[in-house]
Amino acid sequence: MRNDDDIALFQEEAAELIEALESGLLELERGRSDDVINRVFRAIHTIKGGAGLVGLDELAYFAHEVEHLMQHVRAGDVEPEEDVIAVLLGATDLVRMFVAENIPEESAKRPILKGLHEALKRRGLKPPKPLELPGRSVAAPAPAPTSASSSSGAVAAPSTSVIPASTRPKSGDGFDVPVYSVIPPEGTPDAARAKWGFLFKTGTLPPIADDAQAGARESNAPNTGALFDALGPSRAEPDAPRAATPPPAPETSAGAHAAPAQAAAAAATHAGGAHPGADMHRADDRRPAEVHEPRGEAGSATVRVPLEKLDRLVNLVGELVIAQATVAQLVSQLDTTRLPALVESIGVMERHCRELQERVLGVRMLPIETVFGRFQRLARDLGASCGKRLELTLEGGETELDKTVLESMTDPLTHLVRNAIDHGLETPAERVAAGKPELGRLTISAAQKSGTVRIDVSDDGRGLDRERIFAKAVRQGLVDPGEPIDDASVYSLVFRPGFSTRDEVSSLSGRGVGMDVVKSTVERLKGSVGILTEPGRGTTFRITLPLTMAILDGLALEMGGQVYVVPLVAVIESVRVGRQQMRRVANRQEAVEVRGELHPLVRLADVFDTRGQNEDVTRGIVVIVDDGARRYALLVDDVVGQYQVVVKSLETNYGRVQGLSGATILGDGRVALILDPLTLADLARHHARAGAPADAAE
Amino acid sequence: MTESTSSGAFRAATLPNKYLTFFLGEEEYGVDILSVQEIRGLSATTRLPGAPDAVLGVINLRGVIVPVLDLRVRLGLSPAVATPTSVIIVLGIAGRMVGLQVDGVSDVLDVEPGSIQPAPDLGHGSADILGMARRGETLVVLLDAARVVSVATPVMP
Repeated sequence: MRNDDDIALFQEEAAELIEALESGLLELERGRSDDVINRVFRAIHTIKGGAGLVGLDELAYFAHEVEHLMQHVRAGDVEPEEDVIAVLLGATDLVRMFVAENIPEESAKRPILKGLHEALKRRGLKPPKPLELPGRSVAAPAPAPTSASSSSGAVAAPSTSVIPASTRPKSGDGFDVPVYSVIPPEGTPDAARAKWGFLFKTGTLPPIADDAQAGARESNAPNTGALFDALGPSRAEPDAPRAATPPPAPETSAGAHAAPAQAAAAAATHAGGAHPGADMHRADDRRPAEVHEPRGEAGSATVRVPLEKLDRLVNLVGELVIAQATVAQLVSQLDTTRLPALVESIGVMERHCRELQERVLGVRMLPIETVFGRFQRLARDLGASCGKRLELTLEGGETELDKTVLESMTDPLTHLVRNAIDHGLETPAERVAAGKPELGRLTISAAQKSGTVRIDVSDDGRGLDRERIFAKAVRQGLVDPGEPIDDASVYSLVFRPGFSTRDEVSSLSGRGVGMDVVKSTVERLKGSVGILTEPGRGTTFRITLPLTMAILDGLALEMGGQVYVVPLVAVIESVRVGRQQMRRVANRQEAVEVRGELHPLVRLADVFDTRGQNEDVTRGIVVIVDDGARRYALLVDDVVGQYQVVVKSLETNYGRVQGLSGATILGDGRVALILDPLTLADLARHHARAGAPADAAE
Repeated sequence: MTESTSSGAFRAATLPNKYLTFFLGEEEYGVDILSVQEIRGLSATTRLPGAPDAVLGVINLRGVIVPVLDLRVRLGLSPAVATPTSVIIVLGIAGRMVGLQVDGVSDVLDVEPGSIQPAPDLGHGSADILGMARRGETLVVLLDAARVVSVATPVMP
C-alpha cells in the first residue's frame, strides 16, 4: 500500500491544502463567507481522501474528525465562532504534523479531538462516526467518544473495486482503449454512493465493442450525474445518506474513451474521502497528484517542475546569450557591407535570446504572497500570546521574487513580524494612554522598484528608543560611551548579533537572535535593510532585494586591463574629478568632494593589489558607490558601459573572495569579476588599517 | 589515490596505474589520468585579488568559472612563459574543477604500481609527489593531483 513516491507527492500537495485551510480559517475569523467555508471544507476533505489513498491512515482518521465539524459549519449548524476557529486552527497544526509524518503525541491530539467534539456538543450535535478505511484490520482509533452510540452506527465498508477489465474492446483501426470496470458489491446500499467518472473526449470515436455498448446502455442517467459530480469540485455530502440514488449498474464497461485512471481516481478520492470503502487498484502508475479532486480555477493550469530542471534551463540560456554575443562581436569585426542580411539576422537573434532569457528567468519568479500567507496566523498567535491587539495588512502580494530569494526571506520576515509585535506595538492600555487607537497596525508591503523589490514591515507602535539602544550597546561593549554616533548607526546596532534591549527573555524575542539573521540573510541575497523610525509613531524595516540572483544589471569598469562589474543598484554616479576636488581628511585619508559631499576614496588597484592603474586620480574615473550603509568613491581606469550579466559562482571551483560577489562571462568569452560593494569597503578599511598605501573608506 | 606520501609511508596498492604525462621545462611529470577532464589551449585568465601566487586566475570553461594554476610556480619553479605547446590540463577532483597550465602534454603512461619508486625526500614539495616512474632513460615525477590543486583557494586577510 505504502509508496514513498506517492507519499512525497501527497505531502507536496497537502502543503498547499494546509495553507488554504489555514488562510481560510483566518478569513472566517474575520467574517463568515460561504466561499471560504467551501474552500476550507474542500481542503480538509481532499487531505483526508489523499491520506487514505497513500496509506497515511492516522491522518485520514484525524482529518475525518476535522472534516465532520467543517461539514456542520458548511451546513450552517455550526457558526464559525471563535471557539470553532480556534480548535480548527489547532487541528490544522496537527494535520501539518501528520502530513510531515511527524505523528503528534497522544497528549497533543486528545485536547484537539476533545475540542472538536465539544464544539459540536455545545451545539447539540454529535461527533462523527469513526472512519473505516478499506483493507485495514484495525478500524478507526477510538477518538475520545462523547457518546457511546456513535460508533455503533458505523456503516459497513462496502468494497467497491475499480479493476482493469480483463479485456479491451476491439477498437477497429482506432486507438486501443483500456476499459476499467467499477464493480460495487451487491446489496450494499452504500454502493449507491460509489462515484463514476469518465472523461469523454470528443473527436473521432473508435467503434465500440458490443459488450461495451451494452454496458453503456445500462448506465443510467442519475449515475451520469454522479459522474460529473465526482469530476467537478466535490459537492458531495459525505455522511449524509443519499438513499435516493439508485444503485449503479453492476458492471459497466461503458465505452470509456477516457482517462480511466483519472476517472477511477476521482471516484476513489471521493469514495475514500467521503465514505469508507473504495479499494482502488490503480491500473497504471499514475501518481496521486493527478488523483486529487481537480482544483479548478487557476490551480489546474499549472505544471510542477523540479527546480533543478529549471536551473539547467536558466544556465543553458545564459550560455546561449553569451554565445550569441560572441557571434555578434565576431561579425562586427567582419566587413559586412555586402552582407546586410547577416547583420539583421544577428539582431533578430539577439532580441530572441534576450527575450528567451527573460522568460526563462521569469519562470523562477513566484508572487510574494506565497510566503505572506503564514504571517496572518503568526500575527494572530503572537498578538494573543503577548496581549496585544493588532491588525495585519498585507500589500503587494502579487510582487514577484526569485524562488530562492523568496524562500530565504521567510525567516527574516518572521523575525521582523515577531519583533514588531513584541517590541514595536504597545499594549492596548498603553496605546489608549498615548491617544492611539487600541488596535495596533502592522503592515507588510511589497513593491517592485526599478530592478529591485522593496519589502516594508511597518508598525504604528512606539518607535525605536535611541537612548535605550545606545545605553544597552554601551553595556554590551558594542560601542564606546563617548563615541559620537549618528541616529542611523545607533539604530543599526539592533542588527548586531546578540543585541537585545529586552532585559527579560520572552518566549517571542529578547534572546538577541533574529535581527542579526535578518541582516545577514538580506546581505547574502545582495540586498540591504534599513530602518525608518519615529518615536511614538512607529517603525519601518525596509528590505531592498534584487529581483533575481541569476542576472544582474551592472556597470562594467576597466582597471589594470581587466573588466570588473559593479551592480548598478549600488552606483550613484560616475564622474571625472579634478585636483581641486581632492581632499585630505585626518592627515592621510584621501577623499573626493562631489557636489558638496565628501566621499572617501578607494583605489581599486590598491585594494586588489593589482598593477597597471593610473596613480593620477584626475586621469581615471571615480564611481560613487553606495554599499547600503555608506558611500565611497571607487577609482578605476575607465567605465566600459552598462550591461545585463549572468551571475556565475566563483565558489564552485575556487572559493569566496572578499570584495567580489561572483563572476560573469563577457561577450568575448573572458571572465569579468563582479564587485561586492559591501565587502569591498570592508577590504578597503582593512587595507587602510594595515598601513597599505591605500586610502580607504571609513 | 588522494593519499599523500608525506609521512614516508609508501602504499603502492593505492596508486593509480595510468598517468597523463606532460612537461615543465625539460622535466616530465604525470597525473592520474582518471582525474583529467580535458586538455585545452591557453586562454586569457582573469586575475583574482587575494589569490595565492600559483593561481594565474580564472577562465571560462563553457560557462563555468575555473581557476588555473601555474604548475611551475606551484612546484617552486620559475613562472611559466607561454609557448606554442603550452596547454591547460583541467582536473576534476572531488567535484571541483581546477586547471593546470603546463608547458606541453607528452603521453599516456602505463605504470605497474609496484614499479613506482618512492620520491627521494627532497623536503619542500615532496609531499606533492606520489613517486617516480621510469620510462626508458628518463624518470617521470608522478604528482598527487589532489594535493597539487588544494592551493586553488583564496587567501584572505
